[in-house]
Amino acid sequence: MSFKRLSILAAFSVFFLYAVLIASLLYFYREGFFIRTLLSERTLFSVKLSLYTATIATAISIAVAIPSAYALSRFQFKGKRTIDTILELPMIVSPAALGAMLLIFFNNPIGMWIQKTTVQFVFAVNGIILAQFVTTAGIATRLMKSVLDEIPTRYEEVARSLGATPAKAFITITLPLSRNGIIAAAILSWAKALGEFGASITIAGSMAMKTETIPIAIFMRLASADIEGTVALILILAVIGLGTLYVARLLKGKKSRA
Amino acid sequence: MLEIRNLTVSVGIFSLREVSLSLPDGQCHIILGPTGSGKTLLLETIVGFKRPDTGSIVLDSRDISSLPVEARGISYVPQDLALFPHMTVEDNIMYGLKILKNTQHKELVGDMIETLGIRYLLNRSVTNLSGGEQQRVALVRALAIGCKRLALDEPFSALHETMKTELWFIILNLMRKYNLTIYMITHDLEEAFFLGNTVSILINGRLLQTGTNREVWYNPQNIEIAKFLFIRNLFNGEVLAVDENTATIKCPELNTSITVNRNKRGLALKKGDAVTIGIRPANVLILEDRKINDKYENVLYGRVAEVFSKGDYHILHFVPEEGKTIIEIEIPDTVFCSHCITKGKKTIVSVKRGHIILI
Repeated sequence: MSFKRLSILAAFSVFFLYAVLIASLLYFYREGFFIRTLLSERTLFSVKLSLYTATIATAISIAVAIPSAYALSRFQFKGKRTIDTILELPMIVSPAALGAMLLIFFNNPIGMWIQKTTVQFVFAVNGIILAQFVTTAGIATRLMKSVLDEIPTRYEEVARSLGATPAKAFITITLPLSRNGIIAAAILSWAKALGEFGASITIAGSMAMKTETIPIAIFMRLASADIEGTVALILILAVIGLGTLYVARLLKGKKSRA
Repeated sequence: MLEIRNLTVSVGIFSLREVSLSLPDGQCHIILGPTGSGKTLLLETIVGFKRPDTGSIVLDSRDISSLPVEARGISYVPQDLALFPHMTVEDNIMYGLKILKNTQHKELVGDMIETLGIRYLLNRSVTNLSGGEQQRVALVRALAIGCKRLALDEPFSALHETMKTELWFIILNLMRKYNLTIYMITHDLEEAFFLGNTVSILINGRLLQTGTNREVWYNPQNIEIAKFLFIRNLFNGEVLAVDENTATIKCPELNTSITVNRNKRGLALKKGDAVTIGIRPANVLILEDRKINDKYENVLYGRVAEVFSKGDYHILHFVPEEGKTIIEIEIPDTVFCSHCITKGKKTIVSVKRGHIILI
């Protein structure tokens, strides 16, 4: 078998692994029950909450990731290596541990003071956004850094020799050149935030119709042995997540061909 | 006038050491050196991308060493040109003017666009341009803001010879028309001595020589520079005699004595001094037997040991009679054919004393 065929086979084997997992859900699929579950007030609340928190968390992540990644990509400064390493924290520490760290933080005097003077995070929607932000910020920064690393500094240097300040050169040259990378980082961060469970449930709890995102709802249904409900919610999560990623890739592909 | 005073700049383990230069306005200044000599680092320090460790850069009596790039008034064209790929040709050209909110130079830009013949490209994407078109756009973009000083980082190194020569003329034309001062780095000798009013030789982070185009070409200060300036024939010798204008050098390697003009280096020569003489391959003449007379200087008899072809030119390895070395000779195809030169042929050569360089 040629190398090309072998590599294509490997790609398909990964696809089949996920496809089989999704297809196995259909064993418990009941059409009437699925529609009822989909249209129920509780599910719609979960969908809305998930979309809302994932979007806000992604927006904050990208807003923080762009300048951070720029600093890591372009400048040499003390502590750069430490920052670069700590970006992997969400991938090294389990999401539940990350949530526990947040919970512990808000139980120390500084955390309590923050909650008292600003907004409530523990057992609240803000906690979900914070958990999703903490989980995605590192990944978004890492993705943005690799995008910025690919853009030669020469463009900014030339822009500066033509009169642009460093900030103006960044806004007029580097930012537009990294547009596709920003979109890709935002999509992946959003998808990661949408499926985030461990950190969210640890800090925000699992309160129906309050902090119940789709992943938390799946957990709650499974805990009460509601397999059909679990299947319905997993399918909803998969359709929303994969559908959004697919459409975004389609649009990006069309734009780069234009 | 741009003055570089005792400039030292380090990047990693490499450093430029104590570079001092005075570069008057309205001229093309070439910084010439082999790859890895620190040319780009020097240019980037002048433009402002690198900060000097010590020393200063003074422009029109004002120390600009700590000024940011955008405040120095030196436009920059890098080796890869760095045309902004997300913009059209027109947007690239107008970038500086938009940033500076400058509306006064639009007429000047229009004139430059006409001079370089790129009006038909204005609405095109820069990603669809040929190498020569990209060069022209980069030049107009750099000059559009009305800047009189231009820093060029080997901008023609990737171009075909024909296009390169065409752009050399364009650069000289722009320089005269808009009274520009150009600081350009290159490793190309032909380019350097075609464009440069002054040439500075930078090798291994040290500025070895600076002077006018002719001074540097005809009076390399040491063997390292001579080798870099393609003086392929270098022979050690001893001064036998000196008079007012000439010196006679005994060259054991050539088994003969050579008469040379006393250049700057030769002024201090006295009998018995050890010297090195240099001869460029293109400055060796092939003589015919019947034409030999007293008007020919430094005549050597020998034979052609090797022949190499180089397009319209031929490289010969000439071995003098009783000599212990070879002389490399470069002759055009017409001379090669008219003398019916072949490997092993007995040949007579001559070198004018004015073409022999004392080092």
